[in-house]
Amino acid sequence: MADHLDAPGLHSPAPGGPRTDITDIYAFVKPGDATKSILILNVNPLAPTLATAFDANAIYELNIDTNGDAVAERAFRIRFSEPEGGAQQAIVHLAIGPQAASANDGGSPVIVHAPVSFGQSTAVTAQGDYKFFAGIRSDPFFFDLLGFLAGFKFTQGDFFLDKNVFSIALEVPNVAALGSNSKVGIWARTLIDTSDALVPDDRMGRPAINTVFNHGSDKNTFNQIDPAQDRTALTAGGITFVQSFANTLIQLSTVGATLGGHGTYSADEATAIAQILLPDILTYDYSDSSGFLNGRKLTDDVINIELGLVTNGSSLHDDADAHTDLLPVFPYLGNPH
Amino acid sequence: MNKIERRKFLKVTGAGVAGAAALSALGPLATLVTSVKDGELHFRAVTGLPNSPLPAYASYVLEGRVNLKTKSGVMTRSLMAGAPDAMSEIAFPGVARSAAVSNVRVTDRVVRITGRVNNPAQLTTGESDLAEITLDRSKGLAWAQFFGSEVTMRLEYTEG
Repeated sequence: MADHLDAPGLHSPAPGGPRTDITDIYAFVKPGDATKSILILNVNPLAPTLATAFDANAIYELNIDTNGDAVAERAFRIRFSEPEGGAQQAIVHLAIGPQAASANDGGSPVIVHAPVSFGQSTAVTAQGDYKFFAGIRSDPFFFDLLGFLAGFKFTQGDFFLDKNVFSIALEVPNVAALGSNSKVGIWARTLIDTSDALVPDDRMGRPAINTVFNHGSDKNTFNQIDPAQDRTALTAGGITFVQSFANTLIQLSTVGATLGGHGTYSADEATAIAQILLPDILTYDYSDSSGFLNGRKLTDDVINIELGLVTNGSSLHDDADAHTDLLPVFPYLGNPH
Repeated sequence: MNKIERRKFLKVTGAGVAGAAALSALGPLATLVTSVKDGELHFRAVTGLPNSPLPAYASYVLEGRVNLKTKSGVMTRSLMAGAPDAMSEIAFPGVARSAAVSNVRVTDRVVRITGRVNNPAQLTTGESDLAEITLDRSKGLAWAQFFGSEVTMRLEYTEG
């Protein structure tokens, strides 16, 4: 799965639980308007089965690295009111500079009093050059999960076709929101506001990184560190995440060799790929409307791209296709099931 | 299970001292394999998916209560999030099935159980309504299908 249930044992990360369990992030040029971008952060896998609202004690962040140092120079911070009478409201702050780099609740408001949508309708809030949506939506992720569990026998179709998530969608002006350098890096983070501190809960850049490459308690560690630490932090086994990723790539490419791949990656090859995957940041050039690995569109078949990568060039692909329930206008995500 | 129950269990299943030693060598999950009481077999078989050498992300669980005399009973299957050593309580939606046992064949310590899924409306495209599991009580292993792939499972004892 992309980042759904990415704590050990396929649980939602702690302490937040499903309400702050990031499932996917997306970044793409707004269709029909190249001066704007769409940023989407989805949480709450299998919604509303595991949770029925956003977490009022959490900060949902979309972080923007504008200079390639794996540190946020800009951060959109979304907070929600306590659910009351079946309603919630959101506020979005934009933090810039040092304020964006550290865990805090700061920033200037760009969206206020935005209602959360709990039904079929999409309550879009437009203020200034920004648009905002938050609410339950069809999960746009697609993957033959059962076929994967059956050992790459992809015959079961899209497991996520009838699943929902809680979505946060932003339409932003490119230069004002993301900076003048069109090449940025994006990742999402959720933090839980305890009485003492903001505790990191979940984190995601590219799809299926923590779920596939990390194992056991390393999944928690990976969620709690910052991208700037991805290449130097150590796993529970005492090796770097780069080395651990390389080991997994070697393991998976060995399996891939039996499925038409080009053979087991050498240690150097695996390390080189691991250093591309880390830090775990979704690279996005807003001057280019092509999809994944440049940003990620809702229809990008990221799983097939990554299957080719981890199996060293096999033609292995699942039989799940992009969802057809997407809306033609903001927030683009399909109606909930 | 306390020591007395365990001794009684071993006697009932005919494992004996040598059998118990052999089963113990398989590890804690396989030491107590199945329960047979008054002709009724209770079993629980578990495996991580995908199978090795890939890391497991989910646990496939088959459980059953089968009357060996009347060749009847019920089998259930579920897919739980997490590998068997870290299984969560989150069940994958749309995967659970219940099947009525239609036949049982016993050869030595191997039991082959077949059944039909109770609610055919649950079946996905191309999914058979046939439910089948083979238990080898001497090895502490079971074999079953998971969406077209045969998987090897470890048997666990469940109380009757």
